[in-house]
Amino acid sequence: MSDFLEQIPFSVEFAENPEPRCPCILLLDTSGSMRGKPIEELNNGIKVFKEELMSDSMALKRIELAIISFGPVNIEADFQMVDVFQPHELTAKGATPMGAAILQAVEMLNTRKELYKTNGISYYRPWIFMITDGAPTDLWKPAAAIIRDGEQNKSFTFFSVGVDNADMQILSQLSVRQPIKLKELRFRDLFVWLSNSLGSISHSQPEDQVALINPTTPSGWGVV
Amino acid sequence: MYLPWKYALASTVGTSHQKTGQVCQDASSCQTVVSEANDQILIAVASDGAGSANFSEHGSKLICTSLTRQVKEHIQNGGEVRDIYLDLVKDWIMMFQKEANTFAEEHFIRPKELACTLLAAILGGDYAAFIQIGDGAIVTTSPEEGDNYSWVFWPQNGEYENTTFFATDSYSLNHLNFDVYNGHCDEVALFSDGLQRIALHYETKTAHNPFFRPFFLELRKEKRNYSKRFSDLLVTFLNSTRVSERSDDDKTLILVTRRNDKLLKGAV
Repeated sequence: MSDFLEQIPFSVEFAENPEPRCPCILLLDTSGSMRGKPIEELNNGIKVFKEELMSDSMALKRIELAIISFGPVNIEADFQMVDVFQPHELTAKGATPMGAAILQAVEMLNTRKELYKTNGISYYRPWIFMITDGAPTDLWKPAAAIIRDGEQNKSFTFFSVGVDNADMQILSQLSVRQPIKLKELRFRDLFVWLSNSLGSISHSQPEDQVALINPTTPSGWGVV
Repeated sequence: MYLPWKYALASTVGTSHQKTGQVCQDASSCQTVVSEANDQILIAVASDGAGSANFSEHGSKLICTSLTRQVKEHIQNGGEVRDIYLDLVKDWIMMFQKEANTFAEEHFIRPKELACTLLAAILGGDYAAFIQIGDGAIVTTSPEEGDNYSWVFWPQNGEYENTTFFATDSYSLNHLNFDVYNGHCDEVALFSDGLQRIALHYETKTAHNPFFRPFFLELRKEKRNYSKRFSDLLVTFLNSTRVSERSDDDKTLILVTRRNDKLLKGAV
């Protein structure tokens, strides 16, 4: 239980590091169907993600990570810098309350943005990056509406990745951007891509358009 | 009927004092007492002994025991938290000053050598009283405010950043902060100036909620009134590199809650 002590956020964090922030929320399906190999590969992928990000000193000062798991909805980690972020093993159980998880993520983003504003910290358009292997077991229409608004107002970017038997049909109704289907269980490649993408964003000017590497090429980790 | 109080506390010596072989000049104490109206009242006191005073570790300990004793007497004589008023608090502090003078005489030192600050919270079910002389701060929340903490008094500085007021000085009664809150404060933190730069947000002049929330989330899960294990964790935290990098001063943190984690889940 003493883990939490290492993550206590200090009020001086913005004064000590006034760099613009690039917030990213990982929204991870940890429902019962992820049990076994999928959750194992997901856990390994997150570790790779941290290692990759750690090698980029500029990204280290700018990227802030939060993790929400759903099955049930749980904030695994509130926004924190990559170096203090400690991945801990996610376990798979329960249903897939995807709708509630998305609402929670948007709320956390709004709170974070407020904090940036009161501290005079500029920020990049936040990312919500969702990975799921199923279909929502709760009401997802309000979540779809909030994603549509968010994308329209450019208040965040929402990506969704379907694993295995994910309901790609619902994902494409939920997300404005086309959902990507993960090839096999290539979580590792996915997280290397995510780290590179966040890395290039964090190296740009907050208003710049950044061209991301297409993950759906034959050698990429996904298919459309 | 309210749930019983749960608390954890720690005072640790700062790295600058460690280097010179000095002892911890901060002191803290927490006790509960039951009033005639069957209200469980928690008395939390923290004090920071002045770095410039040679025997201030005795001053800070003395004020913790003296104030706790006097508040207990008040309760045991039939008093309640709502019966605490400014002149009574002044009497308590003057009594402490008398005791400090006696202590100084007995040890052939000047009372100034015992200089220390005072932070105290006296918490009942429907009323809470707060006392402060000097720096450090107390933050609180209530069931209505949920997980949003706010400070009671902003840390007092003298003319300069590194000066403050001490309960040992007779003129300190002019700088006494005292307030009785009519309502249920169910979570309170008291901390000395060694923590105030990381627990308070100076630009917005607010309590830094993200700092306090994780502590209380964990404390609510405790089963006992006093958690030795949690208090040991606080020691680890206060001594950690992350904290000492930002302040080499002595540090005190007292955390008090009346919530449990079931209530919390219901609230969220």
